Amino acid sequence: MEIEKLIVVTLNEIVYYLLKKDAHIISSEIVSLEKDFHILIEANMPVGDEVLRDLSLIKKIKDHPELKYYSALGEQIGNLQGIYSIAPYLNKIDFDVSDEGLKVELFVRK
Amino acid sequence: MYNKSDLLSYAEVFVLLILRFLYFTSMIFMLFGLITGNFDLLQQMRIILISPDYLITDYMAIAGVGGAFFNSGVLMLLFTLILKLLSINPSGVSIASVMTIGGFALFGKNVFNVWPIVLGVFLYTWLVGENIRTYLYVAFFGTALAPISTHLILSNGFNLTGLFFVLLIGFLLPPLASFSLTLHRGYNLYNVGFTAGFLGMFLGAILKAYDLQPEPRYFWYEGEQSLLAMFIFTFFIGVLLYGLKLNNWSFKGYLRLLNYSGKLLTDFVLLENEALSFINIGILGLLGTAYVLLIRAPLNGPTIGGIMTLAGFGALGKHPRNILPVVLGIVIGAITNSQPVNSAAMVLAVLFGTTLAPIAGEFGIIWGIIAGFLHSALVMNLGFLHLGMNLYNNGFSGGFIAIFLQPIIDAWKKLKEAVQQRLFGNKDKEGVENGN
Repeated sequence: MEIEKLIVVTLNEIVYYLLKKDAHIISSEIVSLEKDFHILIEANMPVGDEVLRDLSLIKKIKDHPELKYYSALGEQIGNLQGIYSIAPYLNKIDFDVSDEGLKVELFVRK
Repeated sequence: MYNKSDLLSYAEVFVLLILRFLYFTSMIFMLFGLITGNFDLLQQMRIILISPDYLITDYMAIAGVGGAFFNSGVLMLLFTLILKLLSINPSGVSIASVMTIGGFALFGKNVFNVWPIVLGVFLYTWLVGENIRTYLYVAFFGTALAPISTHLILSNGFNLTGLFFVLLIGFLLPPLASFSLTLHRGYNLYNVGFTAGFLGMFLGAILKAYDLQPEPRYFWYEGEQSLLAMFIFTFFIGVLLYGLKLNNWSFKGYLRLLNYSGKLLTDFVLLENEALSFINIGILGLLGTAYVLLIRAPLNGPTIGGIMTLAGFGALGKHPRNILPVVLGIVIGAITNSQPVNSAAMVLAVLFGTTLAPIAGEFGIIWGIIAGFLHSALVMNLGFLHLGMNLYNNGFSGGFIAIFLQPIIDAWKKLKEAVQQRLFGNKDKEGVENGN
């Protein structure tokens, strides 16, 4: 998948997922760096175990570059599975949970 | 929050457990082959290597049980070593792909014919500058087209032009396989089977146009059954017990696994854990074997291959809840159509037709039954297109069914909503008119 499209798909899928979890999206930002794209999403939401489990799964799947081939599915599936299919393209994913909500940081290599 | 050391140790445990399982499976198949093949093993392996192997060529029938199992074990071992060599962090896809290769190595794949396809895929990956691991599983599943290697390269001595064409076929697989995913949207688990069917269809047409098509083949082993039944049952009971041991001798969490639709990419090892995946593999393997024996079909290369594939995909989307409606649909088809339930076509349709499990998992039992029923008919009418060169003929059929059913299911949903709205709307209107 074209890298810019992948960035948009990634952002869309995660925002969609958070909205389905009753999140109030405070901000979403894409920074184009020299070697990678930095995606930052801040959401105000109740962060339950399910969300934490889902995010840690994405973290786990990102260590499987051999699953990149399935990323074509990410263009069409508007649910968490869409994120699973693009997760192998992620270089780094961090999430921070606080009283105010959730901050998700992603890096996708250019 | 997970810390780095936790994640590392977690990943290491994954690698060890899955690789250990794949090595063990390979070894046990090779050992069974060595014991049953005995002194004839080399001769049996020679027959397997040089014989044409398009559908249906049961290695147990043309060479022997020992040779077939030894070939299967060796191939599984070699592909597991590739995973190790490329430092792949194995997951459910690894189990599904290696077990599928092992299953088909009983009737079509051998230690020679798989490599030109694999090389073709790697060549594409290298030329487009992708990481060698990106299309690794396309290469693994792409060995569905292995019979083309034997036909084009070995049918009249060693043919270099044939080798070039097979490399080209492997070369075309990655872009086609990625595109195929968008067609059926992950509802056909054997995506490369669908892709290989397309490629095989064009190749079949070209071969036919130049009068180079092979003669139809039908080799179906029906010999000694008790030893095979004992081996397969013992193997899958062992896998089930291994999973239970890892899960502290309980089925805890298994009900959660049954709630997944199974649509690609549902990797149970990543989404759940390896223990539940092994439990699921064991259960599916036992169910598949019991079905074959129950309908009095023989255990042979193709049926054991079907059981291995069914069980292998127990780590990648299939579970009893989403396969049963599809199986029911195929059995209804088999009972009502002209084919006996235990005919080769129908028994293989049941075992491999579970590629459509995500339809039942996502849209419910009725759509699963419909998908299975359609599959029982379509799968018999596609093999001639690729002249049996695509070993995953059921994946080819499954792709068409998934593409065909999705818009119909969407339309049905819309229709249902519209009718409900109209009915409720009328009721409201009547209520207002009656002063209620």
